[in-house]
Amino acid sequence: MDWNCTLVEERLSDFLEGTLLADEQAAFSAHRAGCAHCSQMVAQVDGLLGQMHALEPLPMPLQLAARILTATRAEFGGAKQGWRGWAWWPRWAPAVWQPRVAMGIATALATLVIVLHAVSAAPGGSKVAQLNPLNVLRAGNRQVHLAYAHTAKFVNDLRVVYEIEALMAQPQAAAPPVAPPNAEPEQRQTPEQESHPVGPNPREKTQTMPRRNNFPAIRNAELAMVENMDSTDEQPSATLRSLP
Amino acid sequence: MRRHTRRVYNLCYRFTGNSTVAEDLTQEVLLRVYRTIGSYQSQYGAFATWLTSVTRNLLVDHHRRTRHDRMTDSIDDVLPVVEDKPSQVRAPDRQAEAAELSAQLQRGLARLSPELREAVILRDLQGLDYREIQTVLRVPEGTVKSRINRGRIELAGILKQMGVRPA
Repeated sequence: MDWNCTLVEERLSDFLEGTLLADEQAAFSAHRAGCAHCSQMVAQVDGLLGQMHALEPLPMPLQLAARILTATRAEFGGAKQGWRGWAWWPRWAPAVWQPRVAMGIATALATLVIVLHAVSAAPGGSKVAQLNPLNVLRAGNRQVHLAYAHTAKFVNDLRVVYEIEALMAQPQAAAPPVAPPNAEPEQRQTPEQESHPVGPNPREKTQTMPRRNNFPAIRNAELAMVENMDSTDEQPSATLRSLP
Repeated sequence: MRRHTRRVYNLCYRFTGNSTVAEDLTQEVLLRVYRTIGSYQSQYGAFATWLTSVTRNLLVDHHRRTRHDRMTDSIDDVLPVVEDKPSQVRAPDRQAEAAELSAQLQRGLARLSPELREAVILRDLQGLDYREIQTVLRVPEGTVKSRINRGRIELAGILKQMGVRPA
């Protein structure tokens, strides 16, 4: 393809920046070699680009920076004198509400409360000697043991209550060894069943489950109650009231 | 801040050809940047490109505002006397040549149409690539290339008429 002057002029920047394809480059160079006008134009523009690219940026006037700073302070400095809205709120404040930070703060506060409580609960009132790390450790150890003892007692009491409840819900068929030979345990009902004769007992499921009784006193009370139920019409609650 | 200020000042001076006007425009550009820095988002391009866009918009506004003044004055009477002289009184020959070339180039740029002038300045004096210029001027890339090419050819012809020899 032969290039004319118009096409060479349109693609001049592409030629100087080296973005022409190989065949385009060859056609451009062929026309340039045979055309004095285009050759001169390419030389002029090429020289102009060299001059412009070699130019250093103009130095900034010395007073310009100070002048801009003064104007900036005049416009934005005065705004800080008035109401700043929520600008007083520190920028790190939202980070406090992150779960990790909140949990850390809560843990530190809980630790502080425990330590202070241990110190104040130590015998002898609040003295400077209580701030001794050894005393703090002892008081804390005492508090931990007390808390453990309270918890263990509560769990044991709860277990006794459950045992008694399970015992009251137990049908008389569960005690065949102490039943009289002519008795019909299937017809006997617990006090709860007597009060609600119609409908299934919701606690019957617990009767099929294996029970663990590690308390000899409970076992004895259970046997005594079953005996009372078989021999008399007395309510088992009377036996339960005799439990320690 | 100083680097960006110098860049803005160069762009304003090369476009207007007047150092006093360039200083005023530079100050106005930076104040506008401080006011609207919240609207800048990095996904829209580099900060320098955004700064150039703000400068260019202000230059266009200034160009429209002063159109009447330019029509009443002869541009050749105004532009040759606005070039800043270098601060060194006894400058070496190379610095003097560079200053002279800068002044001649400024006169040549002043004769270009605003569309060609800003394209040549952004490409060859500010060093922006075609995509950045496309972002600043908000015209298609083909238009950008065409304006730069025509601007270079016209500027070379103007400098030739002025007697400036190519390097």
